[in-house]
Amino acid sequence: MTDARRVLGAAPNGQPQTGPGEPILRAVNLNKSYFLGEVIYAVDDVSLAIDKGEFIVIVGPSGCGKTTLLSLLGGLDRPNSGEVLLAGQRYSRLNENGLAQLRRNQVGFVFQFFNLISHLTALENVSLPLRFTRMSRRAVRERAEQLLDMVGLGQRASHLPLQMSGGEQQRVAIARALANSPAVVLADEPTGNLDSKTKNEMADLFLRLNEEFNQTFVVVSHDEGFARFAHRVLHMRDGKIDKVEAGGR
Amino acid sequence: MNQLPAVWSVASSGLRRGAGRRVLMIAILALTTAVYMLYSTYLLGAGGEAQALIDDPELPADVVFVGRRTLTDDAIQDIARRSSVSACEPARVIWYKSPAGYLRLIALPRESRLWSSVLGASAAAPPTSQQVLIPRGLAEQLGLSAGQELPLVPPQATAGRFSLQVAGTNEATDDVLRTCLITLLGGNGPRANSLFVWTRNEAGARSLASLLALDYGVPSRPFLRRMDDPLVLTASTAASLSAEVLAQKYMPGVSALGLVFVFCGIGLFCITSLSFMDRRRDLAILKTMGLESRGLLALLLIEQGAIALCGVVAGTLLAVALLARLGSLFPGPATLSAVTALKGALVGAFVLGAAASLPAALARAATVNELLFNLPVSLYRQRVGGAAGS
Ligand SMILES: Nc1ncnc2c1ncn2[C@@H]1O[C@H](COP(=O)(O)OP(=O)(O)O)[C@@H](O)[C@H]1O
Ligand SMILES: [Mg+2]
Repeated sequence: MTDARRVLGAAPNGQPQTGPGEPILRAVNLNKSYFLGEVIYAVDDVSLAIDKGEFIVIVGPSGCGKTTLLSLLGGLDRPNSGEVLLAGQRYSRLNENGLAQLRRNQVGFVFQFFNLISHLTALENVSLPLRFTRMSRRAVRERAEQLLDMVGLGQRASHLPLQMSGGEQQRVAIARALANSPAVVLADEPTGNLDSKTKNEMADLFLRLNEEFNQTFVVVSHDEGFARFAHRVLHMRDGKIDKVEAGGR
Repeated sequence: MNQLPAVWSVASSGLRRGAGRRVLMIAILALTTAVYMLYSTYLLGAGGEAQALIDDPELPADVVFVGRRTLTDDAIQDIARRSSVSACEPARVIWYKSPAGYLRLIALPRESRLWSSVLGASAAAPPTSQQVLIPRGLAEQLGLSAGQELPLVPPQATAGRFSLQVAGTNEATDDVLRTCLITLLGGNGPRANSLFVWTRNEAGARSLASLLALDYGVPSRPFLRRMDDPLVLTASTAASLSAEVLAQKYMPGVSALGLVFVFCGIGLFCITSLSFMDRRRDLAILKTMGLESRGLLALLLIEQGAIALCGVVAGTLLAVALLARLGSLFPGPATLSAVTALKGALVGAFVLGAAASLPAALARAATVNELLFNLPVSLYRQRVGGAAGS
């Protein structure tokens, strides 16, 4: 434990890795490599600690391992070695179903391409994660409506994804990611597919959720909008975190 | 944790809002099921016929050829010319339902050499075409005596009941003839559908039997008898001959069925694979949300189950409709039995399940990133879950 703490405390460039509140997500010596003719170290010995309520932005050139790192942090994929801990749970001790359960209850994902289920309405998409819980149908509906209101789409509940703009779809995806009050929301280039006006709205929404609900965010994005709100900006290169900057907050 | 509500909401909405490919899958599955049911019904009939071929007791001729179609004079002459036929005479053989159950009615022409056997030593007069000679046992069972009427109903029909006047008892010494109703083949009545053929040797009987089988295939029914003279066709000869006949009959059907199954299987496999490609994203979303493999299995079962249900129901209806139209091509009764329908349903479900199993295994093994970014899915993944600091 103390060993891990020391590793986590040491940032590559010596800057302190502290934020407001308690550490909730930790990665220790994470490695993930792929073999495509030669070995590609997509994530190379990455350690980091993220505190509750922190807003982390990850930047780096394409192919440097950002998406891979997020998948490891969210328990979508297993590392070759290393450990991830979320809210005290060690991923390596969980089997596939345990990991699925962790994703269900503790992690919210937002993707670049929104990834809504096309034949479900906005309300049904947001309800979906709640349907995995023991909540009653009515409670599910109420919570989903609340969430849609929160992202400003209360009026679009019965619309299908294709009837909504990109920004609106992404807001539905955010509402869905928040449905089960996850410990952390992981977003992979959430504005990569949006125009610049919508990008700013999206950054504002993330900021509001962060400030209002103390929601922890790890966002991969090159948008200045996000960097401005971040507590820390992690720079990745060749699978490593090679620089940690203080964000705009 | 119960994953059914979430799975159900996705599956049911998918079924409600997305038809497209599903209709094609249902159509192929219906075809598979119907083909199986038709074939199985055919086999039942043919099997019954084959059994009859083997079991049927012998009649006093080397080859007794019973057809369903009326034999023309030309056909009779043609058959008589073949092989080593020593004598050949037409008759009409048909089953009728009597108050004592089904009985074979044989109508013999006036000049038939079988009369001497039938009339025996009792010196009874030959019947007219309105009269009938009945087995002694039947007369005792029904309490019938000469001059009374024996009511008869044509097979597979409810109308057309008629009766023949009992002329006397059938005194045949031959085991088979003795159990038959015998009447006279009337000049302007129904035409002959059967031949009693006497051949000169066993080889002749054999070759004639297979020629008849070839020419008159379904639904004709040649079979052989054991003769009292030295040229005996044994029961095993009859059995092997009937096996030959059946092989000839079944071969095209078996091949056609095999082909249909292979093509339907390939078709279904392609479609389920394509729809797996289409649904990679949905599956990825559900997996990020924490769908476990049990939930995934439930999702696929619901979806494929709905398709299987529709396909099997449609296939059964198709089979029933086709049987009604093509019934005349079937050797036995052309109705779909419950057992055949059940077997067809299982076969349909099995074909669909087999076609869907690889896509399902891929869906299960795939990681979210593989699904989202269309990466190749590795089915056999070694699990590596490194521990901290090791
Ligand atoms: N499933 C995979 N199979 C093989 N190589 C992969 C896979 N996922 C990612 N990679 C490789 O790992 C590296 C990092 O990818 P990624 O994490 O997607 O980068 P980023 O999100 O920063 O663009 C890339 O070189 C990519 O080609
Ligand atoms: Mg990426």
